[in-house]
Amino acid sequence: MKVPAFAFLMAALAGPAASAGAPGSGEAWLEAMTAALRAQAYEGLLSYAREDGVTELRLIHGHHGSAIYERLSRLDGEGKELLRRGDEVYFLGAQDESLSEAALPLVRHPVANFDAIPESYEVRLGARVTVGGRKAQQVRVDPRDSYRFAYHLWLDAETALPLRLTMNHPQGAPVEVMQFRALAVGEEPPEAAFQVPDSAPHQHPLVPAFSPDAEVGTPPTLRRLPWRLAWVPPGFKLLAEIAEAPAMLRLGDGLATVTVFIDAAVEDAPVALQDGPTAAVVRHRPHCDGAAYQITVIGEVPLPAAERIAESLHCTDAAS
Amino acid sequence: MTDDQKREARLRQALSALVDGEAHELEVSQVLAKAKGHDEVKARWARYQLVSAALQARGAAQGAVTVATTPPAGAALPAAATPRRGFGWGSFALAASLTLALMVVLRTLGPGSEPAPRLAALTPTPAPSLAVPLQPVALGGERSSGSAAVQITMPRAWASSGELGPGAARHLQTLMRRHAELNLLDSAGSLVPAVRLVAHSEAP
Repeated sequence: MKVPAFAFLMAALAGPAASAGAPGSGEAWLEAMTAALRAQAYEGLLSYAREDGVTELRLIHGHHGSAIYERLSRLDGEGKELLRRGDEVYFLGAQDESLSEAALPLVRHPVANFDAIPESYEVRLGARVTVGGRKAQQVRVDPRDSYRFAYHLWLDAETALPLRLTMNHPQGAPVEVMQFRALAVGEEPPEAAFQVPDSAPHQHPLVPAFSPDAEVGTPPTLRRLPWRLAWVPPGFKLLAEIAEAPAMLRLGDGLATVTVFIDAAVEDAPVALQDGPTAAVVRHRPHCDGAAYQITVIGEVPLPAAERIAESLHCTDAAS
Repeated sequence: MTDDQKREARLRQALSALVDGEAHELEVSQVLAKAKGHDEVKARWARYQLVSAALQARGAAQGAVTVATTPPAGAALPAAATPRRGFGWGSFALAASLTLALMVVLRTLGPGSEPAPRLAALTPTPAPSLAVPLQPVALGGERSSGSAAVQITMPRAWASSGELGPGAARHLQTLMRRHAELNLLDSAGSLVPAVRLVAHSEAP
């Protein structure tokens, strides 16, 4: 089956990465999807479901010159909104404190990057089915091991926009479903749709922070923190190293990410849990001087992978 | 195969059909009948029906086509695909709503003959201490953990090994939100992290 010509044209205009997939391949579909998500103007209602419930959202996506403008709003009472105006991002309606700006890195290797599927995954074309009355092409992005989840996407045959996306457990069961319930494509939304409220409390400027070189070996070597990781899932790289308290490590394979928080204050008992697609593990690890640290690993990976990352963190002398 | 196993197999089959977009309303009704006596499920289902009805009413007022696309310049426009300002919600909404509603129903029913008791949705409560780490509950495939695994007592779908008190739960939710924020900022505009962050519920 061919990738829709319009979508493929956008993929071709999107840059060098767009040439990675053979025409009609799963990779070409994903490239077309990524390009469509950026280049198209669209408004939609979408549902986000996990095992504990469903959240209804409204998405408005447009452009101002070459900048992407986007507004994502919850419709079910919490009043949260995410407003993106080019490089400005506002998180509206959050009830607790914001992160300090210094703790917000922008790494060079973006996560959830479907136009550059890493080798840890296999891309396959699925069936052509109907989703919401639209012809859609299924594309499966399956992991080659059990340390990460699979992604299944149903892309609109005409526009390549994702009508449905599921994240699946390695054994096949969905842990997260994202689906457009209605979608209007093609007309730029009015600028008023992206107006910033007078008292926007949470602006996060997208300023690049320290991120290490991409190819630093496996497991990666830390340069700022007196710790070392003895193991990370194959294909995971160190994305960022943040020395502020609590210290943070960012790991990712291009689609999935893991954040490791290292805190000198040990407050919580060890725990391991899976909240939908997100694993969270708390462990206590001694540093070389004997002081205990609380290690919290959070990421969209199966729980055993998060547990193993937490257990693999060992101290190193600061001088070494 | 016991009656419970047969029932669960039927539920999974119906869910699978819905996830694949192949089911119709009858299948949903059959599954919902299994939720008889479970007030939370019925209330949730009622909310979805209201949302669907509202969306359908709006769609009927604005036209039946749900996905409207603008073809390349110069192309002839079929009447149904003529671009217009605003949304055109329609029947697409219903199938998706039913799918998602059913997922919740199945998740809540669990493997036993009676629905698992759930605490008030906004009340953080310590999760039970469990002997084995739990896996995500199957939503269309095979259930991957034992029957005790689906006793969920946290506002979100916590499945845990170890004790998690209210204070620790709040701390963990703060870190999970930080993780979600970092994902958003690192995602170069990808939709998935944005949806996760906005959909993330805060513990009271």
